[in-house]
Amino acid sequence: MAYLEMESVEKSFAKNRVLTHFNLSIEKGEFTTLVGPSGCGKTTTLRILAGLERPDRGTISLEGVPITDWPPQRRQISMVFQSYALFPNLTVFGNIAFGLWAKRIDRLTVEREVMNLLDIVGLKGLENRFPHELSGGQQQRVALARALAPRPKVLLLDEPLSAVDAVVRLRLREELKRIQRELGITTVMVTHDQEEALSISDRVVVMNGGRIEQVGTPVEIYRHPVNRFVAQFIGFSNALRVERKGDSQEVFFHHYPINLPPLSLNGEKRLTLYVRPETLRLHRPHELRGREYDTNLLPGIIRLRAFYGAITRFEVMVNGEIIWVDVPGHEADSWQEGDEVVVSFSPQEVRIITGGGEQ
Amino acid sequence: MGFGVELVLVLALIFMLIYILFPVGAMILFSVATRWDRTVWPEGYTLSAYSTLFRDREFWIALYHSTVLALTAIALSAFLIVPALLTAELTLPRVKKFIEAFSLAPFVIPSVLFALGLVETYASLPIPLYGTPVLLTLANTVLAFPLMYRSVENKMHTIGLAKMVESAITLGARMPFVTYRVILPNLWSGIVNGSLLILSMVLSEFALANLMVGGSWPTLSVYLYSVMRVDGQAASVLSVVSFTFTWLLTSLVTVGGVRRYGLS
Amino acid sequence: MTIFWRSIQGEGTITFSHYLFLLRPLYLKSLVQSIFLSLLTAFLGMLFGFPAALALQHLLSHRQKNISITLAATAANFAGVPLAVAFMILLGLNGFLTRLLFHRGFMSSVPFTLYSFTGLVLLYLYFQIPLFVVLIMPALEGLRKEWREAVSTLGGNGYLYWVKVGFPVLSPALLGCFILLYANSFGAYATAFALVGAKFRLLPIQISLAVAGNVGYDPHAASAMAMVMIAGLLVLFSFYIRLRKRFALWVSG
Repeated sequence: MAYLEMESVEKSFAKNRVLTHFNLSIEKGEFTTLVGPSGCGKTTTLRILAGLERPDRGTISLEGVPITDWPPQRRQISMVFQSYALFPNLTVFGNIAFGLWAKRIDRLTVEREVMNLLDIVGLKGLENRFPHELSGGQQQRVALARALAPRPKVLLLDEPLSAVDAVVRLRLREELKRIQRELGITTVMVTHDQEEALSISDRVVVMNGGRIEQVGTPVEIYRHPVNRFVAQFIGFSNALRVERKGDSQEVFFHHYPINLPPLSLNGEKRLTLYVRPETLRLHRPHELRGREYDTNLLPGIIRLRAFYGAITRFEVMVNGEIIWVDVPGHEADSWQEGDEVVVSFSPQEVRIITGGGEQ
Repeated sequence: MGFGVELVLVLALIFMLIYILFPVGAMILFSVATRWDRTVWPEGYTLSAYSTLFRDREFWIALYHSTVLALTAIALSAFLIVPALLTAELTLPRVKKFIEAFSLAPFVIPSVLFALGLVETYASLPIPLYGTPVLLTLANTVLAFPLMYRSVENKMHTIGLAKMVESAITLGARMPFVTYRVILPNLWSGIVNGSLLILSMVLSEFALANLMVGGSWPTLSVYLYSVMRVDGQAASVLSVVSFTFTWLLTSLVTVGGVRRYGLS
Repeated sequence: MTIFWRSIQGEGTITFSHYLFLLRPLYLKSLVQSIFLSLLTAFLGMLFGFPAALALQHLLSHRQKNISITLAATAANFAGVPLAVAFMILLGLNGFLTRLLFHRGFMSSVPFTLYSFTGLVLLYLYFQIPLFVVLIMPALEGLRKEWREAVSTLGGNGYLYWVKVGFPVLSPALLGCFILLYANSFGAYATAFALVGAKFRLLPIQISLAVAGNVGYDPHAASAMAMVMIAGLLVLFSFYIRLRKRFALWVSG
């Protein structure tokens, strides 16, 4: 049995079903991230784990002990709130010490622990400040230290980085990961930012409409999405609707032939291929002279180029449909808007999802 | 919260509601009683006190006076506050602090003292303003300012009117057009809100009216005071009317109005 | 408001001797009585109003809460002459309750009359309690649900929440409302005047008599009293504004 388990949990608010037959197991020391669009039930999952909401059905267990009916106080599961919820009347010290006060721990120990935590989150010397005297990033660190202070078995993070600006967010992200590693604390985070989810987690849980779409390591999720939702929500993908003629492995995007990796297609006629923009390449038409009838070549015209720094994204119009191609660094400099190009890709980079086009 | 604590809270709430409703109930009962001084419950019920009141010419005169006062105060405060606030908001943010402090003044200076100041000042002037309804109107308008100010300012902030006006101007609209198509329609509910508050305030205002003009130009509350000494039942009828009216006005403004003194 | 300063200066010209009038027992007594009445009704208003407001916020549905708040706001605005009338009918010399208690033999003699200090307190509480409820409501709504949740995930119970977070956060708001209640009753004129007329001399009534009455006409003393009153209220209000800022900072921060 896993360290933390949710088994067939269901939850509705009024007539609104938020979680449907929800199963999740989390190993000790793991950093798990729940990611999904807003309203997918990820925050509710977190609140059920914390004991702030009661599931309508199902069980939750920690270390093999069912805790479904336990109040939050008893669970030893801490939570960092999206708005931090720092106590405005208490200093940084008071906020961090709160969980220790609740345990009636003696003053000297409290002081030692708080100082230690201040050191960990890098806030030494600020213990006498009040929350409103701190920057957003500092408030975030206090919230984290406060949650860590009672030495919880599980740490829950609800969109912990959404309220700070972009630069601070990146730095805090790294630091969060470092602290989690150092303390080896089992952590469950909620975010709507797929990049954040991929970069920080050991495991990612992609949720949609109260269900789990896919669970896996960041690499698995990114490279091998199991369905259309995951392919489009995690990272950026081109969706090519193709048609299969007969029972061959060859399919057609408009009239251009495309070769697929060998796999069983169960007689599907309409398929959607998901291809990451960074796996596509641009070529000048003359470079490919004589190979016009090869597969996986799509001629088009560059409609727009957008410079992103590390990469440049080109919008290529192929037979009236847009295909995005990312070109790294200086390579991109030679391509201009209006250029005639051919887009190519390797069959290995294609993810196939059966069932035809998007809804 | 424990059950015991909840019980105490609920009891406090019930106590307050009873405390509010009990005198009102007695008042209503008294106003429709034929006779109610010898027995525990009224001996009979009649609406005659109401019809007597509504046939009393003095009542209508007092009501007319109060209405005139209220309408003038509403009109004057709206015409002064709205443009002033807009100018302050759009061009002179520093003036706002000044207006803000001003709007608290009626809290600091009770209306009795205000009346005293006006009487003292104008009594010594050669202009025959002292003791006239005109002066009373002006005094009421001053008391009305903060009510209008709070409502309009509140509305202005929640809808972000300054940004709206700015964007209208960048779209090339001229000020009269902006006023007519952007400012007035959006601020309207705030102005109405403030007007209701003022109406309720002026109709029940007693200190100024009694001290400044008194019986020579009676308003509703002055009339009620004089009736109270003579005829208890007529007074109760008037009080019932007054409570109902206050209640109606309050229900209309509850959402915005409750917060007018609020701390947040 | 500058009118005021003029009127005061006009009277005081150079001398402050008028302020010495205030030391006369007549005025001193009304000052003390006014302060005592205001403190008492503000305190009782808070004592009864706060639990009632908590009940409104936490134990009632949205609809019930709105209805109750409307009622409270009505009562808070229902002062002056009509209020005095209502209480006379209920508790006057021949009021309903008075009679009820007599007839049923609960009481052989009237333990108090409405036309006294006690009666005045009862009357003032009619608007003070609801006023406190109406004033404290936004502050209660400002207490964030997450604070309570944070306390519970950190292992603390409801008691710890109120002791360490709830009350301390509310304290500036409570004190601020107390000040408003105090000022509200300190400046109230109509209610007391309607109930007891000039018999019971609270400061506002004393002032009005001194400026417009037939007996005891003394504009100098009136101005001096007014100045004392305004000065006191000004101090309170500057304090109130500071409290308000602190609370706004806490709740938004």
